[in-house]
Amino acid sequence: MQTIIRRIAPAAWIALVLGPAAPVHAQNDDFTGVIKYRQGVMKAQAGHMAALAQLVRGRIPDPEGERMRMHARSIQALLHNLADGFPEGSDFGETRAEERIWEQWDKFEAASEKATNAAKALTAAVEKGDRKTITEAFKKLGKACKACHEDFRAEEE
Amino acid sequence: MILAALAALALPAHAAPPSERVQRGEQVLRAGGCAACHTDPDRPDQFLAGGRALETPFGTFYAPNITPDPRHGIGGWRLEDLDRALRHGLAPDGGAYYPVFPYTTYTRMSDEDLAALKAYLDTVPPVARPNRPHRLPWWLAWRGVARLWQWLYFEPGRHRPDPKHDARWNRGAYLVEALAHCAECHSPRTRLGAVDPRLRYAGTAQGPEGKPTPNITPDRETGIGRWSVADLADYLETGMDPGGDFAGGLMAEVIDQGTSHLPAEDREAIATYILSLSPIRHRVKSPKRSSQDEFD
Ligand code: HEC
Ligand code: HEC
Ligand code: HEC
Repeated sequence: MQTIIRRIAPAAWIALVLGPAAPVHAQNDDFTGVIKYRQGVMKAQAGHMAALAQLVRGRIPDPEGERMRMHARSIQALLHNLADGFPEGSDFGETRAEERIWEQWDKFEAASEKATNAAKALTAAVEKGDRKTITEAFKKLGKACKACHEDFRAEEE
Repeated sequence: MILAALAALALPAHAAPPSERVQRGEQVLRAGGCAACHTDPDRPDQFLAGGRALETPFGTFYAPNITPDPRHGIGGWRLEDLDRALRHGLAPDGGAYYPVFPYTTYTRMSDEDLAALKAYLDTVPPVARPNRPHRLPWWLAWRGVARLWQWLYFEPGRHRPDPKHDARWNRGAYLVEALAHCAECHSPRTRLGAVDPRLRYAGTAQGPEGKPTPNITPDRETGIGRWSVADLADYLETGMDPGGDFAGGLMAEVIDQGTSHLPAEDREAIATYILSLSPIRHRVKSPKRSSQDEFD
């Protein structure tokens, strides 16, 4: 009995469950440059974070903190003026930027500033050289990246 | 049968001292991801007081208040009531819960974890926030439909350890299959909203809120087969993937509200178990775009 219902039920209910509408995206070629640029900046940040994680967790030797300093400073520089890479309306085309960015621009800028401050704190921690503070600062920076993605970046399709 | 289970609940075999039990209960809550659903993201101060909207193809559900508030929360509940809700999908009045509440996973929870969870929930500050009714089509608003669904797809029962594997793997299997409900998000569903058993963990283009979730089986091309156990454990702690990118969307919540609060051994156990699954080739994400393309 259960098997029979399992088989016929989907067919009977099929009409009730609405399929998702296909997204209709107007291509806007004007923004391709800025979209590629900001994605490149993001990927560069990610590369530094991946490298930093290995150093912070002590999986690679870095006795003078030389490498950590270089990566932390680079991220700080890359995060500088991050919001400029998001001109209004650049959520069309090959991008995962959410329209919400411009609806809540102040919040987006605040998220960007929070990440910049976290990167500054990491650079400062690396200068001081205390392992525990460095680890905490690194995690805090990661949290700032994650928080902005949570609110303003679409899932990958 | 049920009576025997209740008797066992009343006398847990190794009763932990109260404070230890409360701590363990908090970890059960974190591993179970309860806080992510039962806390309104706009009101993080109203911890577990409900109100969060969960959009599904079947309608919008609002997670209820599970603080010990006697009027709006679950203040008057006994351990047996929590057992019926979490492990049998039934409300104190006997009505069936809809499967958006993942009791299909929690039914595998151990007696000790259930008792610990109850002890912890009793310590949460009560919040007097009224529940919001779900917004459902007429044919679903009647809870008999949920009961019918349970009859078709729900098999209550505890988790069984697998003696062929070591303790770490078994801990991971328990955390994932009885609490963390990774499969509920990372699998496609059938038309009737049951997890598709053939593509369990293989990702879906139509996950929660209609958004995609990636394939997390260890397939090297379409899943996370290139990740090490340490990579996945790191991801569940900080949200950073091996490429240095950071999780967003619902996974950021799962990490912030859940897995980042677990002991490191538990994250390693989860990672060990997930990476031991059979790889399934199932492409959800489009192959990586490369900014190099235009120069080729
Ligand atoms: C203020 C918001 C914000 C902050 C802070 C932020 N990101 Fe992003 N990130 C975005 C958005 C929005 C996108 C999607 C961009 C697009 O597709 O056009 C993105 C995309 C990415 C991508 C994907 C790039 C691609 O297309 O391949 C990576 C990787 C990434 N971010 C890493 C990071 C890292 C690492 C940090 C922290 C050091 C960070 N991001 C901080 C908003 C942010
Ligand atoms: C995916 C989101 C989600 C998760 C995760 C989740 N719940 Fe729920 N929960 C719900 C929804 C939605 C309902 C209401 C179901 C219904 O009305 O049929 C619910 C109902 C309940 C109820 C019944 C409350 C009442 O007033 O009848 C309890 C108790 C509960 N959840 C506890 C928990 C606990 C404890 C956890 C973690 C172990 C948890 N939930 C995890 C979404 C969730
Ligand atoms: C509430 C739904 C939900 C739950 C529960 C959930 N995930 Fe996820 N997961 C997602 C989403 C959505 C993404 C995509 C995140 C993004 O866009 O950055 C994701 C991404 C991931 C990724 C990244 C994969 C990749 O290819 O980048 C891994 C690994 C992962 N999840 C593992 C898990 C594990 C392990 C669990 C259980 C402990 C789990 N997830 C539970 C929704 C969920």
